[in-house]
Amino acid sequence: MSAHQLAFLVLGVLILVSALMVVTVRNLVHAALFLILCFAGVAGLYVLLQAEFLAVAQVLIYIGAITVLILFGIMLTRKITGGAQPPLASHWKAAGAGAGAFLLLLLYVAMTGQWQVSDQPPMDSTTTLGLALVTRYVLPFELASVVLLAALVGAVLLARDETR
Amino acid sequence: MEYVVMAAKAVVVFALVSGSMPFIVWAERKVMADAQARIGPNRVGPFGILQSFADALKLIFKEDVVPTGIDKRIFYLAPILSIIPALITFAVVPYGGPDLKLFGYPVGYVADLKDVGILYVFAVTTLGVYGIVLAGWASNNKYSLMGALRSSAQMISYEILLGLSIMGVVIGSGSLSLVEIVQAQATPYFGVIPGIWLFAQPLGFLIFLIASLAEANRVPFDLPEAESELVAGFHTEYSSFKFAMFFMAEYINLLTLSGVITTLFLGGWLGPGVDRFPILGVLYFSVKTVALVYFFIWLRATLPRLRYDQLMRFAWKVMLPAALINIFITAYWVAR
Amino acid sequence: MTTTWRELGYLTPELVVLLGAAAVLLLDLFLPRGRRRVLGGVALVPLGVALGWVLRALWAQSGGPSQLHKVFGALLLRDPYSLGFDVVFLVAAILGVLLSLRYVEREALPAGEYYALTLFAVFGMMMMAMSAELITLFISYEILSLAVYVLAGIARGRAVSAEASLKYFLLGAFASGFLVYGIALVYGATGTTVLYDPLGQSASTISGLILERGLFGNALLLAGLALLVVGIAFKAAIVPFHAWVPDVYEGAPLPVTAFMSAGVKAAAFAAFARLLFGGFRNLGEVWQPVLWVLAVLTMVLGNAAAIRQQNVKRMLAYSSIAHAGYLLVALAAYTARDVAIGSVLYYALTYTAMGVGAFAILLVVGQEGEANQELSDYRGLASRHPWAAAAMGLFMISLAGFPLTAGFLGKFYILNAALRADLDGLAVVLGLASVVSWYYYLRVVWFMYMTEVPKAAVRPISRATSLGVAVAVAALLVIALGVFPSTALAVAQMAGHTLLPLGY
Repeated sequence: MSAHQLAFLVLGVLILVSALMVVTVRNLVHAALFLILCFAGVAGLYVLLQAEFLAVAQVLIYIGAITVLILFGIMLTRKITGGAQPPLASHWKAAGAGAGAFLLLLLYVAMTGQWQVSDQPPMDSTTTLGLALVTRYVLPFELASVVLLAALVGAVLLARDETR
Repeated sequence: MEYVVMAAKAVVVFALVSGSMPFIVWAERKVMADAQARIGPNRVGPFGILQSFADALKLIFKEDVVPTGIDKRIFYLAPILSIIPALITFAVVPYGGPDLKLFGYPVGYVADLKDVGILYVFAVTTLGVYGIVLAGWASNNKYSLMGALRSSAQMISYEILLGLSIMGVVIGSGSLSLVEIVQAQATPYFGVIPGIWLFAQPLGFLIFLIASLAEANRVPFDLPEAESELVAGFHTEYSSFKFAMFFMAEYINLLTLSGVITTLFLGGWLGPGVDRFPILGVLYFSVKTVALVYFFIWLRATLPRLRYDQLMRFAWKVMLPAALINIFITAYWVAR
Repeated sequence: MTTTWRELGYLTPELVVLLGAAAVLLLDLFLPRGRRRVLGGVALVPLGVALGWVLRALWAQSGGPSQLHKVFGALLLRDPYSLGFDVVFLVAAILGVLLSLRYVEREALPAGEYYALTLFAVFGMMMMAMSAELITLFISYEILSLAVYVLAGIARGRAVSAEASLKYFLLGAFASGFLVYGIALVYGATGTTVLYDPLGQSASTISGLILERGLFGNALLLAGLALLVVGIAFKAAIVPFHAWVPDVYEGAPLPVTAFMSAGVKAAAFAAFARLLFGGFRNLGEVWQPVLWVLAVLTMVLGNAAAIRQQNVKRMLAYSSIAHAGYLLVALAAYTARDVAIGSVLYYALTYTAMGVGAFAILLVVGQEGEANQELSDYRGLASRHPWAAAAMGLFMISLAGFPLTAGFLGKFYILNAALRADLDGLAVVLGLASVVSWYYYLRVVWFMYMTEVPKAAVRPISRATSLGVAVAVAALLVIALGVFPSTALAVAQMAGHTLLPLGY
């Protein structure tokens, strides 16, 4: 087993275990912490794939911003800050069976499907990404700003003080 | 072999950075004392220079008070989470040029992440917030929690500015690598003025300076630990060595930010004669960084703390538009 | 690769709507609180301008050869197909805004955000109908979704509205996840996200690569397609991805329900047809049976649930599920593509007219805080308010599919497509389902015309001009599409043909 494979194995276990902990752990702050671990593992996978930019973006956005906001939200919601929440909803058996079946299907697909593997060597990823975003994919890139604007308007609308 | 060299460099830099921390604390106390017409520490060692070491010994031997009703694991984790990001940022900050070689290996920096460089700095800096947020939450103390909340809102707001303000530098240098950003500052303007980004990007420099103060929780942005309002905020309940770790993290952050600003805006290791004697670069870098540290201490002695709503309004309504304008101007200037 | 001003010109209606949204948001900032009712009128302007542009473009092409432009590489296609769906979205939005004018004021909803989000949603729909590339499709889908989630919960004072928004958002986020996962798998199997190239210039598209590399049985591709179908079926309210529909339709403010039942569904079907008939047309044998099953389930369950409702709003919600089933029948008729796509477009337009019309009458009869929506509130409506009753009756018999109404012809064309594709079984189910639907549609008519109500219990109705205009427009559309279908149908068929490969 090469060092590369070993690293992948370790990261894979880390991601899966922490993801499992996110949904089973009873304390919401702990769940958020495991979420960080999970995101960090994904960032590690990106490094293994030589996609450094994605890795850093993953840390910067998912760990540095989104999870902080999740923690912020948890801490502002007084009732759920300390107390343990019931970890499983009432329909967990059916949901578990559904998710399990979906997992099996995806495993089957991932094992048997023929992936389209690029024969080109990996390129300078930040430059490539940047160029793609302003040339070929400039439209989705710009549309994303409309998504953000709509989300912003909606979030302010739903969250702002009723009396004002 | 390459990895061995890198590890060796990392150890040396790590030692130097953490080793300089007691002296920064001492310097801060001395400068503050000067500014307030006091004498400051003067008992331990010449000019009281060993005061910080005495304090450190005292802290380590003090009783470690652990409050009741806390989340123990997170309570212990928080100081560690706050010191690690502070330490690993320096890995990409170049303190000497690529010509600085020892036994044929470049030793001017620990690593040069060509593709991500400056983004790595930001990614790691943002992790620092977790130490504070988790400390505040785990302490089971409402002042600590408020400090944590303030800190997370403050850091997220100013992180955006941190990123936007250096866009001008990145566009101008055409690279994210810190080494290349420094190299881009080598050509003087009109043949005489040093080509550092401070002169071409005054607005970006100002915004970055202010935002990095906020990221480091320094005065006037030290709301997460405002003594007068929050009884020291997130670290109220911390004592002994765990408190020392927060304390260390704060000063190492100060040093790191000074190093980053030096690199981005003040030409890093560049200075007269560096091309012939690359070792001079380390000296130039150190001098610039120490000058910035002095500047930050000076600010602390001068400015009062902002109010929370002022802090937020300032970030979103003043600094953000200014940073965007800076980007547009730079982009136009570069594309022209 | 560069995008010229000319190319941007093809996006005129979309850009007008987007600028309109920005204008509404900015105006909201500067208008004093009491003057904000004009914002609805402001929102109508870009919608009207866009509709005019679209109709003119369609008109110009209806006689001669259809024009097809690629915008931004091959990410967007400006073809009669997208223009045709734009008509549906814009009509739904204009009617929706007309319904809202009085409602927003009465319920004290935040006008600026309300109309801006409506325009954002329309923009998302229009982009969705044009997308010929999966990433663009996904982002347009998100623009639409986010705007509608918020619209559903915009009446924050009412708990049901907040609940509707939350439910829709949580389930919708899940559906988006499926869509993205599907895109990832399809990309993994083909190495591209471009669906197809109607001009046949590029072979590195999903449809081209399926043929070229023989990816018919590729597990990745099939799983990806399945996940894409799930993601879109959720928005189209297709059984078994419909669980959110009744609660959200009932909880959302009425004008929003009207707008989303027509617009969001049409957008989902626009993307659905582009996806299946464009990108995955060579896998027709695979997806046709799936659609067959989904169509039967949707028609049966939608109608069965609608029968039991006493609340008219909820009844219309369930019946809209049934109508999604009818549209699915047309999609399943893929061997008769040349008529199937046109019939989807035609039915989407007719459903918009009659569905939004019916919701408009709910607003006319309904009272503040969404009261008066039980069947019993329609007792003796005919004798009290004959015009309202007549309009409601028209919408009901059209929804039921009676001759000389738009609903009849819409179903007729779908049946025609199904029979031409040898889907006899599906056609029979559609017929039976329609007969079942007569029961609950005609029950409303029966309550209005055949029952009396004591004088004391008579309640006033809303007489706002904007509502009257909306009802009149919808009723005229229903009659026009039912009696003089030829122009609209010809345009729909022409639009449908642009989705087909060259030389089909």
